[in-house]
Amino acid sequence: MTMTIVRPVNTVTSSGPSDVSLVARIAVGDDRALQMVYDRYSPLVYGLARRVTGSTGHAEEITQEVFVYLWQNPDRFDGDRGTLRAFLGALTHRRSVDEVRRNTRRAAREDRVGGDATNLELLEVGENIERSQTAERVRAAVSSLPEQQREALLLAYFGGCTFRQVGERLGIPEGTAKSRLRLGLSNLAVLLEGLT
Amino acid sequence: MNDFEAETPDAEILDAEILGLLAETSAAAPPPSLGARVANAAMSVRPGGQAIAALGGGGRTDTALAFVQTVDEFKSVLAQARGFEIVEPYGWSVTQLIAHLLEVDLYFGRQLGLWDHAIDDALEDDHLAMTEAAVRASVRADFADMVAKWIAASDALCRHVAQLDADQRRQSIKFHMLDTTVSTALVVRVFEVWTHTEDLSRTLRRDPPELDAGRLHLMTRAAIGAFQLGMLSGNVDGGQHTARIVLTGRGGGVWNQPLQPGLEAGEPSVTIVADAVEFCRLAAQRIEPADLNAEIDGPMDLAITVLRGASVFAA
Repeated sequence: MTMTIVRPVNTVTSSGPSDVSLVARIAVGDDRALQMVYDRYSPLVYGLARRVTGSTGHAEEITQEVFVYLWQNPDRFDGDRGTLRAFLGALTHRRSVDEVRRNTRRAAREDRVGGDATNLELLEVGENIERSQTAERVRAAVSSLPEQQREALLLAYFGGCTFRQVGERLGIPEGTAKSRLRLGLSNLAVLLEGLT
Repeated sequence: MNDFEAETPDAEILDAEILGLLAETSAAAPPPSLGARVANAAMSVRPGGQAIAALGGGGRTDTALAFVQTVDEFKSVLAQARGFEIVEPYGWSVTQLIAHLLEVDLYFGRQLGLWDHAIDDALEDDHLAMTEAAVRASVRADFADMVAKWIAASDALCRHVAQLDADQRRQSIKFHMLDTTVSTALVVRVFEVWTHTEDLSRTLRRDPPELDAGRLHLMTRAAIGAFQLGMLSGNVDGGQHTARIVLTGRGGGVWNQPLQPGLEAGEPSVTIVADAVEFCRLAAQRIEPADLNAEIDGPMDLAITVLRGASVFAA
């Protein structure tokens, strides 16, 4: 099958239709478009949910919820305000953190998956070379952050910690934890310019 | 929710992008069976092929009301026009456009049993040819007089249509080459009147009234439903193929359409994705297949064949 355009207006590339086009198709009931979005982003959604919750069971539930949410509410995604990756990542993270904060057995959570929230070791991403290259670049950028910023960022993001919890884990005031995290994000924005 | 308390909305957007990239480092292949479970869960809350409510999915639009609303919109645009202005694509004056509409309404009223009206039976199947004599004869007609005649006929038609019950709308009617129901004929008339509203708006250099999702959905369904007829009448051979048509935006939907009558829909040979309103303009022959913004997945020659077949409504 070849993807071509009658009039070359849309940003279709050799990798298939754009995310914006796929979401517009989802909005009118195109289940094949949903399948394409799932194929593109389920590794990100599932992997993030698994990393944050520490549970493959919860990760599967959250993955299902995120894609069903997209199917029901495609009009909540605005391609002018960000990428579909950011949208799905935010949904997944929010849902995963909610799950973590309901879970009182956080030590058991880390044991189930292995490793801690701050371990950035690249997990398998299948045969998607472009995704692997992106992940490698992100990992390198995070590794180059000052340790204080990296720790705060990873605890907040993958650990699902609040600012207060980050501060407690690192032995610093909450305000300092927040500042380190914001600095980390700002520095990452510079390091990853071109990917955003 | 602003999880990381960005100071501005733009900063919040950037945070989300950075964090989305960060999430890539934890990407992992889900269990193979999860995809099917996700698909089943999604389809259980909104079936495939049905648009979200905001785009007209899941609702039922009253075809009689749709017709009356569309006529009212045409009247509001007409109120700004002068009789001598030229309306494309036929190069008629506005007066002649009204003469055309009057002739169509008199024919439609006749078919509904409202009144007698003589037509040339040999021209009945051809929407444009049937009104050609009346259009020619009106070249020097008085605009105000023509408008008054049309409004009188149109108002009578709208009053009649508005009081039709469900059984009456299901009754058979011949409308040009179509042997169909009154309800479907009303949708075809919505298509026609909307097209002329756009034609007239273009002449006046004004934005046309925006059709609501419900009426647009009536039109897109009619356009897809007329596919096979369009291919037959245009001698376009679609072979044993099935085309998947995805129309986006208001009035949109998804159809797997066999290209031959009597065939069941199979695995699509070609997928065409286009904006619903643009597709309606193609169906009304206001744009050419080559001018349609579309994403095509499959053989281009088959896609063009399908789009030619879709250009079926001469308004």
